[in-house]
Amino acid sequence: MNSLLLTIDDLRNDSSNPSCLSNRTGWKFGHSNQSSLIILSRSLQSNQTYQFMVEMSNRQNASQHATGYVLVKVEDTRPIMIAIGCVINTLCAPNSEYQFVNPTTQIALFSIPIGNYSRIENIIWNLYSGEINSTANYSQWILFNQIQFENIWFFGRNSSNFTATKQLFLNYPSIQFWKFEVVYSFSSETSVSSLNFIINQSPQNGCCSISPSNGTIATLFTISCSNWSDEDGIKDYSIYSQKSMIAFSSLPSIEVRLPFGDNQVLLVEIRDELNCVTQYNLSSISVQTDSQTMSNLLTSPNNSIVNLLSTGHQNTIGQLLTSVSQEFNRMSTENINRATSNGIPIASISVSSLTNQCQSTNISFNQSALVEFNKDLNSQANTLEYIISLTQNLPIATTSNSIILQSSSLAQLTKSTNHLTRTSISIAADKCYQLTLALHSMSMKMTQEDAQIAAKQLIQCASNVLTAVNSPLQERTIVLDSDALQASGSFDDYEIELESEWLKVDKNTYYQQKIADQVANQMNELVSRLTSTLNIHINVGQQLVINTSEVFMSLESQTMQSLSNKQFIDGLIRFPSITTNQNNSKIFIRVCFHIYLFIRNHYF
Amino acid sequence: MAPYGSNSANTNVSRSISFSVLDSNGTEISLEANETHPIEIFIPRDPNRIIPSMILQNVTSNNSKSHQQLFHFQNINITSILSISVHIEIEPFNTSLAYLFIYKFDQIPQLNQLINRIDGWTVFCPSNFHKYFLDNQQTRNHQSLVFGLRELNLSETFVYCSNHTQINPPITNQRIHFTSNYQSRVYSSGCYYLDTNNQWQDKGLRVGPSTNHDRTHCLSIFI
Repeated sequence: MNSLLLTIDDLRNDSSNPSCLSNRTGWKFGHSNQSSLIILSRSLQSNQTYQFMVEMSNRQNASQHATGYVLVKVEDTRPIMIAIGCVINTLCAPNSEYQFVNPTTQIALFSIPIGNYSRIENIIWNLYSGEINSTANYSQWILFNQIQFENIWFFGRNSSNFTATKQLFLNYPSIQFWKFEVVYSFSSETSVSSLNFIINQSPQNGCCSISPSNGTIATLFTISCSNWSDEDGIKDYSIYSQKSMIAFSSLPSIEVRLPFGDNQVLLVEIRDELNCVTQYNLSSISVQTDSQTMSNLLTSPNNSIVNLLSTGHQNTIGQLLTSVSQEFNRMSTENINRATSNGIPIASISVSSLTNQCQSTNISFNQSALVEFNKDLNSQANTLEYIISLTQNLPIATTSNSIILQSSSLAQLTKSTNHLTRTSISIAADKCYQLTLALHSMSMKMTQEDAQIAAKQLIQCASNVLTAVNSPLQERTIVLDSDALQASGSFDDYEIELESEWLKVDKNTYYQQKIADQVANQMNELVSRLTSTLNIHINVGQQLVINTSEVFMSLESQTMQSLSNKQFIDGLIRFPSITTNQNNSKIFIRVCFHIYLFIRNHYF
Repeated sequence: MAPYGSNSANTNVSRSISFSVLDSNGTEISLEANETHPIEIFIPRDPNRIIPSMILQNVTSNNSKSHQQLFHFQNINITSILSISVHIEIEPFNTSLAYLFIYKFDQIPQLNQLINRIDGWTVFCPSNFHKYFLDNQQTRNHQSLVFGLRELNLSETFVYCSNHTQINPPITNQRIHFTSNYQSRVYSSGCYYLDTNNQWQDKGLRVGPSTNHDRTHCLSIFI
């Protein structure tokens, strides 16, 4: 004005177009000494060029000035939106500007650019921890130093999917707010998007107890939980015994029957409505058994398994199956030990587990011990077949608890593989397959932990039935009487195929082979469904391992080039250097180590 | 693992290993290596398998009999639908002796000053244990394997068990004379994979030299 420059805050400038900005409140100083200026959104007009000038005066000598300029051209662009979401969206419950995240599970995010975009040059995820100033309602975000935990807590930092494991939350329990930001660099522009999280609190301040402190496998124990509080409300309580689920309930008091074991420590998981879990160890208890309680459980009218199973109550059935099958597995181990101590070679009556150590036998063979072993084996196999047949009527509900409970039972019921008749094998294989389908159908809603617990039981079941169905074919275990009887009484395909040239096997082998083929196909499908269920939770560089005495399974995601010179299962598989034309493509690797080679053709 | 010459009650004692590479859609991808740099897979056997004891070869008893044999022969039936490797183990009672080992597929090997009809040979220099291994690709399409053993005399031992490598086997027309007995054990091994029709196949798989009683060493050119 009158050849004088007016400053941006001078009220004499044009009130309808103050300093060329659309209104007087369209800017603010970023610092009290006016050393920075913030232009708020929608204050500059498109297709205009603005010149900003700054004049600085020397504090000691006011006559000394310095000036600087910046030219800003405003262009209309349509920034590419980046959508961010949780891979398992049920785990990211919205809460106004924040999503809830559970500190007890990993967080896996995906991002997608929306609309037309040029080539993506780079993707990078940044993580910020937040502090909220409650009086000013203003949050301060501090960049988290991710580098040191890359591929330990954080996976996929430079890809569209980013995963932070629960170790992050467990190691920084005091941090309540986290911000995950993704920066996409396109050839022409950069787009940023972020999602803010608030840590969901797990249930607090409660306790659980069990009474009585000892009993038998037929005793009803009461587990009572009290005073658990949670803002979201308590959803349910589940009881685990050595990683095998015993029961779950939405009520804080549960009556359970427990498997045999001295000084067992049971674990209660208290879960809130948003699936945040607190674990509570119960004081140790001892559960006794003897053949009397076992036979009571099987036969006495008030307590008989049939009566209890007919209640249709999932928990009761699950516990009974677990108790009874653990009892069977114990008796089966005893039988095998007794037989081996009488000179019967262990490799001719059972298939050793992956953790089994070599047991040498130098005792002379005792024929009567073998007769005794066979008698016990067959009577137990018949009872087991009856119990397994009861699982057929259990409905499969699509809740993670129900699937885990039934899978746990099936893994236990199939463990004594030399006791499984063809009927048992066929029922168990089918049940485990159905459970896998149910698990797969809800894979996008489950936590990684739940999916892994269920998968661990189901892969054991698969491994067990495969071992069971193939061992008599390989003459590794004894043909069960009921199978031989069933074969001799059948007159169908065998008689017809007997005419054809190739059939040179006995009748029992024929039927065993037939069911072995069926089970092999079913279990291939089971493994493939389990893989796709678990792969959802695995980002590049992440590995998931299931290691039991029946089967070892590892799933990991890698790039093709990382296979070069890589070793798996402690060097059992060794890769040479490999060259492919798709070095950077993402792959999933599945390695399985089964206790048994289920080879069909038997030659030697 | 299938031992020969005794009651082979428990032969199917192998574990199994599966390795799958899947793309993002869960479809299996196949990978190829080459013959010189194969993928190696070690498959453990059941720790409780029964390894039959060695069989005594009472070769000294033949010394007094009249015969003109130049070697002590053993015949192994290797007929099998899927290919197998053959592992020969020799445990001499006198560990200071050296032996000439020869073999031929499907017929008796002959090696004298007139005839050289063998498929392979080696010298076992003094040791308490000798082994020889023929992989499944060498045995393929053969029905039997006959191997022969004779004790080397001192001068032959000196020549063949010093550091110089000899191109030809020691040849003699003299009938065998064993000064000591030995024990032997022969077993076979195999490497198989399940194809998409659930059938076991051996194509592209070779039984490797690190195979022993505890594990099978498999070499594969693809996955």
